[in-house]
Amino acid sequence: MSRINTAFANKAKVAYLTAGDGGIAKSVENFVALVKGGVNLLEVGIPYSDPVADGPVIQAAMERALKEHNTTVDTSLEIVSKIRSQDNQVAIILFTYYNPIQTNLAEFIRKAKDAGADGVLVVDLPYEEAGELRHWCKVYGISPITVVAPSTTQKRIKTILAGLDNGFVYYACQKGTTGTRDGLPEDLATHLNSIREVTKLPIAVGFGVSNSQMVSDILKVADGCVVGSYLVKQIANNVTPAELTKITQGLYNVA
Amino acid sequence: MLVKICGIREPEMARKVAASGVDFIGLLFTSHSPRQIGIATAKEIIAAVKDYPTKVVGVFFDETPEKIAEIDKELNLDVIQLHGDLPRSGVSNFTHKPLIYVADGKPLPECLDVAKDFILYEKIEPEETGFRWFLAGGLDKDNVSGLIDKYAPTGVDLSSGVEISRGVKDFAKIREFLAVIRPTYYGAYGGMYVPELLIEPLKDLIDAVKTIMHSPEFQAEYLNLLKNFVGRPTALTEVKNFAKAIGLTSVHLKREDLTHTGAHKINNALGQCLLAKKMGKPRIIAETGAGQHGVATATACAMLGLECVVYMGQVDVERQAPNVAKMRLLGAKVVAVTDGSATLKDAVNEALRDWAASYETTHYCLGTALGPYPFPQICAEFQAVIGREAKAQYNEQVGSNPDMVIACVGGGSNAIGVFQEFIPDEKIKLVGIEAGGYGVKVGENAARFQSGKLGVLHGNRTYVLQTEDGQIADTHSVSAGLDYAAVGPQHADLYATGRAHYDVATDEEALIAFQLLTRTEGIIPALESSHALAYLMKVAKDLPKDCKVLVNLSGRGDKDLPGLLARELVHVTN
Repeated sequence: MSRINTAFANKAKVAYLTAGDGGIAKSVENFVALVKGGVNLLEVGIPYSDPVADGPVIQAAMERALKEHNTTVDTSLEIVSKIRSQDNQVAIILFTYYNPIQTNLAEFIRKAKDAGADGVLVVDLPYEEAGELRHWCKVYGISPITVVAPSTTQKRIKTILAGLDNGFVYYACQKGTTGTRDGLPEDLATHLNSIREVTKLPIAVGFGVSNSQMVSDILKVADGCVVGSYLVKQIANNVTPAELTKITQGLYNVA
Repeated sequence: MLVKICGIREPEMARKVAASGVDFIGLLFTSHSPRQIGIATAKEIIAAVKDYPTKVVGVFFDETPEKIAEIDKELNLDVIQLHGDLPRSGVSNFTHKPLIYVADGKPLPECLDVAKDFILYEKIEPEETGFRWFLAGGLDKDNVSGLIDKYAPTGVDLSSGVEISRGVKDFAKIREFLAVIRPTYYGAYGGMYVPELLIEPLKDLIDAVKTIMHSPEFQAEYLNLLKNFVGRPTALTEVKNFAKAIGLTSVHLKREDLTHTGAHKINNALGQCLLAKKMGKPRIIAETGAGQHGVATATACAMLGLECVVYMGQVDVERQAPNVAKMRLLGAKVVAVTDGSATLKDAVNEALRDWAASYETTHYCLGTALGPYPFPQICAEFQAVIGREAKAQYNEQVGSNPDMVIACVGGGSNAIGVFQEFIPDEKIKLVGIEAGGYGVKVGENAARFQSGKLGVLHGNRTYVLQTEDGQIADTHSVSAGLDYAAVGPQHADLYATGRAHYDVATDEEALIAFQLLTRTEGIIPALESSHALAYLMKVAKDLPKDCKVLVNLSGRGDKDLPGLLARELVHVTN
């Protein structure tokens, strides 16, 4: 079974951090701390100068990673490979914007696979532009992760998920950008049912998740739950890896 | 959708096709075809497309594997396409490079590689094989959409469908075909590179363009506002003193500086705000750099009774204080953006973020001819009035078309506005002028075409100033309206295909032109427009003295004066 499928076999606990926030070594420590806290799917964000899908917390993390630590695509892949050398079980996906990887997409996917990544999510590369991405993911054996949004119509969900037989669906459950929010949208279960009508892939829900109640509510209806900004905020507050582990345990309610 | 065009016979056609974003061109070496070419021509074609990502495919129908290998050794083809039993029999000889294997209904050879090879289905029903594949055979602009819907191929292969007579390709037909299968692109540029969340709002906007914006009622209302609110048509002014000062005899300015709010921006802002109102969106957001688009949008919103929020980089808020005050006076909320470089690019980011949360009630009134489709199209259509008026006025005053049309290019809205009308007449030289800033290094200018780097920024694929690591670069120009890292996709296409030329004027050259026009003609140009004038000053000595030049004066320079005086870039003496 693939590492992604293993993560989803018993509810995927997905956590995002921006690669290189704090430097390479610190970044690796933090990702590993998340795994110790119960996370079984890591989302490694490649920093980008103009992250239009992200709110202030992740924007700031990307700026720190770029300006204070000169993080690049290659540095981010190095972080993946360092996590992988310590942990062969945890599933890892790369989260990136298109511009930093567009000059040689095939090479990026190959290097991502070599580093030990299991999937790639390109946030500003919608289905219409994603043909080459999907091809190279197939060639190198890595899962293309497709995002469904609250605005995505049922007809479109069917089109964009057709033919995908590995990885998972990322349902970004709120409008707007990434960032913590107080509650979950009321139509969450309805949207998940619409997605399930057209795919057998597992579904992770993210965007705005900021406490353990939201996590457990999501995991009641979805196959996985993604926490991003809430954890990135902890990094900004300079928590230690041990504290990060504890915070994550609290979020996912694992001891 | 990959596009392959087969039977290219001329180097210049090959170059234009490659520049238009066609992924593969097929060269035919078969002896029975009117499209056959020889080795010498093939070499010229390969040289003509070497600067483009387009792959050259050698297409073989009746050659032995030995002969194919011999030709390939001579040309080093990117891809080899095998038709017919004889060529196909040699498939195992070519495992070292990508192949297009023409399916014949029999099982595919074992040696084909899903990573690099393609299957082509012509005349036989496609099968699901896991390979990338081309649909071929009689495709044209009228039947292709239906076939794509039916078969969902990886790519389409066409030949006779884009010819005017047997074996003769027609570039106009090729462009028509591309427009059908890539409706969000201008040749190789454009697209909709946005998060999934924004796809449906953009599709709604595409529908609104068709059903509302293109309706006769809307156009009538818009034209009435252009006439009675904006003050159109704007004048076409012959500037004899300026012409004489630079050694020419015929220079005319299209006076967008005379519009209400003082720049061409109002043409687009008013059109989009009217469209938003008809779409039932009571709230407008906009980005602004120098503040001209912000003021135009705030003005249109005040008149149409819409709520208005303008995002503006903190740096620009400080250096364009009078425009900030104007926007607030007009009732707009101005949000200072402190992220990143705190300039125009960051204001666009913030507007896109707002729109992602608010699209149900809000229209994003994007100020220039870029962004995800349909924004470049909407803006170009609303700015087309500049070129329509200018052409008619020019012909009335001069009795002919101009030889050359010059405009400054930031995002490119005033330039595409004036160019469009003149594009069909290839005798007319079109020149766009970017900001040369104070140097040629990344960060010292906003000269996107000079950098030659392609990328994706703010939803469209185009020329983008960026670092080696693919991060968007900082830019510089004395003129805030040109100070931006990407250029609109229509200009990228005009540049790549060669229909328009692009050059730069530096900060210093623009300031000299600014003062020369003011002193000789009593017209204070915007710093942006001064770049177009500066270019003309620079090249005047190389032009025929009687060259008939039209310059789009995109805006007036009042907005620039306080900043220029404060920085002592111009001097006023008693």
